[in-house]
Amino acid sequence: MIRKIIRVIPHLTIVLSCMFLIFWYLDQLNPTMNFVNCSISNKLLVLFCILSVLTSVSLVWMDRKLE
Amino acid sequence: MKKEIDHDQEKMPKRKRMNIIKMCLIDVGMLAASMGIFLYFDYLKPQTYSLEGTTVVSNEKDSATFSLPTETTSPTPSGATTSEGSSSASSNKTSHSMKGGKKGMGNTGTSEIASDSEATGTLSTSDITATKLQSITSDTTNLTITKKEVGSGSDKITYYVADIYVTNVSSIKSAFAENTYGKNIKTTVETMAQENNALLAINGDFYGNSEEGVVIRNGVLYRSNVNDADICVLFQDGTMKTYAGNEFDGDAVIASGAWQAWNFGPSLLDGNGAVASSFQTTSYLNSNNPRTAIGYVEAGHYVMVVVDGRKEGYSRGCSLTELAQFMSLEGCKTAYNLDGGNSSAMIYNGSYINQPSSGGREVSDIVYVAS
Repeated sequence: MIRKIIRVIPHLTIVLSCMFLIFWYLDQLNPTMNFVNCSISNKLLVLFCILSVLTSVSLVWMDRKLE
Repeated sequence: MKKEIDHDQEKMPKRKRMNIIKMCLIDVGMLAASMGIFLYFDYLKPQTYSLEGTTVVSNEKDSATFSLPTETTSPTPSGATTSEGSSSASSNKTSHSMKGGKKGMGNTGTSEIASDSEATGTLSTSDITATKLQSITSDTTNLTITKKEVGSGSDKITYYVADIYVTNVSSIKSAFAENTYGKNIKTTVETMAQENNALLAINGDFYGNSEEGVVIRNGVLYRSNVNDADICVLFQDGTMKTYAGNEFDGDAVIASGAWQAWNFGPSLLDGNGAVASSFQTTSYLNSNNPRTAIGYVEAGHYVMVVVDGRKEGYSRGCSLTELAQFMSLEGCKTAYNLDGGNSSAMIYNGSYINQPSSGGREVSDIVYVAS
């Protein structure tokens, strides 16, 4: 179960990263839409940060295990 | 020991690796689904805002009164100041604090963009062909709607000017879509005009498209957080003033008797009727587009303009500089750009005056003259 979760987390991180890239690009085209800084995006940003930490921790852990 | 471990590993079934292309497709699918869910909740799903924190900041009965113009005389405001930004509104309001006000953390990404008067050229009334469409006079309102055309061929611009005199500034009202304050609650300008029995209506600042921006409607403060866009305030004494986002003092504005406040922008004129030297806007908004603007000539005398666009040969739309020139030619001292593009619409007695681009768009609010 934990392995499955560890395998999924990087993909979720990729998805959220791409979402924010799309938000940033759309805001460049029309800043009044304000996708990057709306209330939902702020919550997604927190989730993105948590997933990034988990992804990085799992990478570091796996790297140490291989050593 | 090692032989036992190797033997055990041989017994365990090997995990089959997922094809890399299949993995990428699954990620793309998850991205598309996530974007769809986000856009639904952020852009489509109607959300009613709580009215907790809204504050009545002015009352209709406190509004100044004016005289309508006769054929030969100019309007005479009675009991109202005519100086820009000052207010003689009575102070019989109970004290209201600006509840829930906070500086917006985000901004609309605007920057100061120079107006291109030199490139656009000087426009004069002789360049414009005017056709009077409607004229109505009542005890409280004097309204004239004129269709104006400038240029020809692919450079032609068609716009509609509503010249409005009112005896009371409370005749200039706002309405929300479905009579509900919230996000993503939208309907057509025509529907809102009919529901509110409007004599004349134009689209507003589409406050419901964003979670930021000052919202004061019919004397009620709904939202007080500001961003970097210009703000336009119509006061109870009949004056209209525009503010930069960082200059806006909500408490002072409320104390002066704000009747309406819009937050889209930019401000188009310099307060003396000349085209502003720069606009606080984005390059996206500065291109040729259908436009809606509201202008102030003097207390009791206002102008609403809708410019059609995106229809070559009929009207290409206009830049902010051109819009500012139109407002200046109408005698406005102050003018303010509202939401445009497909939103731009002018309704008279329940029917469209202009030709909205792409058939129009559902919006969250209107500005109207009560019949």
